[in-house]
Amino acid sequence: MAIAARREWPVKAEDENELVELARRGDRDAAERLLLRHELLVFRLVRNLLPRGEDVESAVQETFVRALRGLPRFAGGATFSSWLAAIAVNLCRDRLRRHRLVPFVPLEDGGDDEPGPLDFLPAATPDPERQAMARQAVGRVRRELGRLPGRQREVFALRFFAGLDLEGIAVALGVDIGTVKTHLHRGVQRVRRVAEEALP
Amino acid sequence: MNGHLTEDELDAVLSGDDLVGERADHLQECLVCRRRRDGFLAAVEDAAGDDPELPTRDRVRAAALTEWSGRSTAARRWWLAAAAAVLLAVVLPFAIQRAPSPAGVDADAVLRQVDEVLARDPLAVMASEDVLETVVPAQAATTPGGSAS
Repeated sequence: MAIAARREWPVKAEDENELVELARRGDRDAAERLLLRHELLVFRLVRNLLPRGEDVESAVQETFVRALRGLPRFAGGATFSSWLAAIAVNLCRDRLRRHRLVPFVPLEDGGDDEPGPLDFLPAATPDPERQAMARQAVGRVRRELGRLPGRQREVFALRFFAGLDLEGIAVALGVDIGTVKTHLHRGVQRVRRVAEEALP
Repeated sequence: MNGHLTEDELDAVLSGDDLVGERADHLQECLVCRRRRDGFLAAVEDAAGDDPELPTRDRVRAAALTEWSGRSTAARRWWLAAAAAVLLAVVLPFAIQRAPSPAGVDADAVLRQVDEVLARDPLAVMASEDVLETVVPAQAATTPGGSAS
């Protein structure tokens, strides 16, 4: 069960190849529907691959533009989501390289100013101590994610934030499935250990 | 093997591998193992943060589409202009070659031809033969280029 499967994805019954073909011919409406379908994937991916403070919106916008301009080169062999994810990953790599940025690693566990999902729990939740521990756990998981080596972090993000399957990840990164499994297994091992230590 | 999932098995499940046989059944039935798996997934989901608000998504999408369609229109115009320029460059030399060149006309020869006609029949350029016959029959008859000859 992937993370993304639990979220709501804007799924429509339209044939994606048809949309791609129309967008390739300059149909703005088809292009918009394509983006609508996959935009959350790009947002989640970019937000988790770039350090905090980086302009996520401009990176997402640039990913979209690159993808639409590159449609004539899109081969039907890959799924559009894998292809889009590949563009997003490359763009994040470019930005990290250009600015010599390092992925975000919080200094304090759970010490972000930005409210996390757990901050919105109902006030009636019985155990504040438990909430605080859960918040700390989220902070530790974030920190561990930021510490993963580049390729491991990419594989992890593609799997758990973008919701791609192993084959899609392999296509997006241009590697074989065995390599994806190795990186994912190591990443999961590290993050899970931290999460289990921290979880209440 | 009836115990809980090993660390490796749990990591494998979370990495996308399927358990088989009894181990798959165990995961299905064991609350402890399911809690470990789901606890990890929930922690990761929380760590991923919230999705952007709809207005943000709309704004970013619209900006990307505008940038894309604006550029594709400009590109199309550029290609049209380039194609027109190439066409001109190819067609123009041929067109120039085929057109009669004013420099190629021998003005002296033309003038000589005119002089010859006028010498034969000075009025021929001004009126038809019938008119000449009526107005100046004698002269028309004696003219070397006249119809009477």
